[in-house]
Amino acid sequence: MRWTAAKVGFIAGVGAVLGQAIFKVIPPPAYGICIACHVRDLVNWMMVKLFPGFYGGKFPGGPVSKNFPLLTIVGVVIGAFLAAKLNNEFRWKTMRVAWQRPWMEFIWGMLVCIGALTMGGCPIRTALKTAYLDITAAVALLSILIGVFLGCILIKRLVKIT
Amino acid sequence: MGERYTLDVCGEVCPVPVVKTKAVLDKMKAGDVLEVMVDYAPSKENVRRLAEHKGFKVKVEEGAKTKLIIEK
Amino acid sequence: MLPVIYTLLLGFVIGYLGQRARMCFIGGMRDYILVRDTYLIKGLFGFLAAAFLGFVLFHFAIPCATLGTFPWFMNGAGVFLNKWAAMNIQATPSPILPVPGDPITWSPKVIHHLILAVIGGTMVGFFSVLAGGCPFRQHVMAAEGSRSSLSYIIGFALGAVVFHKLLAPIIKLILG
Repeated sequence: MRWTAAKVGFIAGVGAVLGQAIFKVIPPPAYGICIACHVRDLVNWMMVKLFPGFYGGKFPGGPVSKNFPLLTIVGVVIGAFLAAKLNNEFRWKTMRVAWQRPWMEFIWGMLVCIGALTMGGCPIRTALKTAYLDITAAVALLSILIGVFLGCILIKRLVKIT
Repeated sequence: MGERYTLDVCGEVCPVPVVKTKAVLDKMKAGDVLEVMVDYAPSKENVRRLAEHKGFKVKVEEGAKTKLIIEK
Repeated sequence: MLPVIYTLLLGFVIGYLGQRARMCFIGGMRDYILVRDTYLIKGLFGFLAAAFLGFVLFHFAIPCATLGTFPWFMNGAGVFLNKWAAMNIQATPSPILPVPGDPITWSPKVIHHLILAVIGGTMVGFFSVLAGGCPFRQHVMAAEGSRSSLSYIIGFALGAVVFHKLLAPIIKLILG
């Protein structure tokens, strides 16, 4: 079966709703699938375990992750790794383009996470919240589009130079 | 017989290969040929989809570095 | 433990299929803007459609306690607060407030959320395009062996700590 992005997106949507409806991935609502929030939950859970006073005694994360963090991201990495290995697409590589070198990517990673937590989720969860009829999330989704548009302008300039 | 262009986008990740390919495709005339070398599967799929969408003919030569031969 | 196990499995399925299908929401927007390519953006639409239909199904057709706060605008403030309390969720004063995603956004003012959404959203869109993909895609690429993406997810995890340790208090201070 040819896995197209449309089919996988659909499955992700179904999975996210089932998570909240049947498998108790709540509170907070609309939390079934999110890269940024669940990474945040996992990291903060570990930080609180290792350094109990780090956040002043509070747990900054989804309440559902308080006792044991959601392991979405672990599943994603293992699943993707398996898919790559089984299809012979796994290869250690470093990107050649100047703004995709590891040091730059480290900075992009930080900024994207900060931006994502500011707006309340990662792009996937923002889409989920929009489907949950959250108007603020719809505004956030449009802002992502604007940000992408600005980024594309910059990319076009940078590619002309290289 | 037309012009022969080559483009090496090995080691580059979307969107760079597609942007560079589009720049060349836009200035190609009938009979021109473009050879694109990729080493990343999504780049191969993206470039191929871009070229076919614009009405070019695409031939793929698999290998350690895959070569896409695009002809108007 | 149930949500933990479920999200682990869901992550696995999405990670596996997402690697095969090259799924990336931001990539979808970017590809459409740059070259009018609709392959990836159909993934975003498929997701929105599935999620919305799923929510509607579980709200109207299959009664479900954990979906009690959907849709927001139809519930009315009173019912809204009661259902939230029953689910042990800290109540928010108004039904037009956004779905909370993050402890810092418990502010009762809608305008605060909108400002944060616009700033955060633009940041995410802009820097993800430079990085080469949305956070999901980056994790998948790291699993494929990309050192650049590996460095990305380390920065990503650190960003979460920086945000909650340093930025959240500052934002709370500015917004009041």
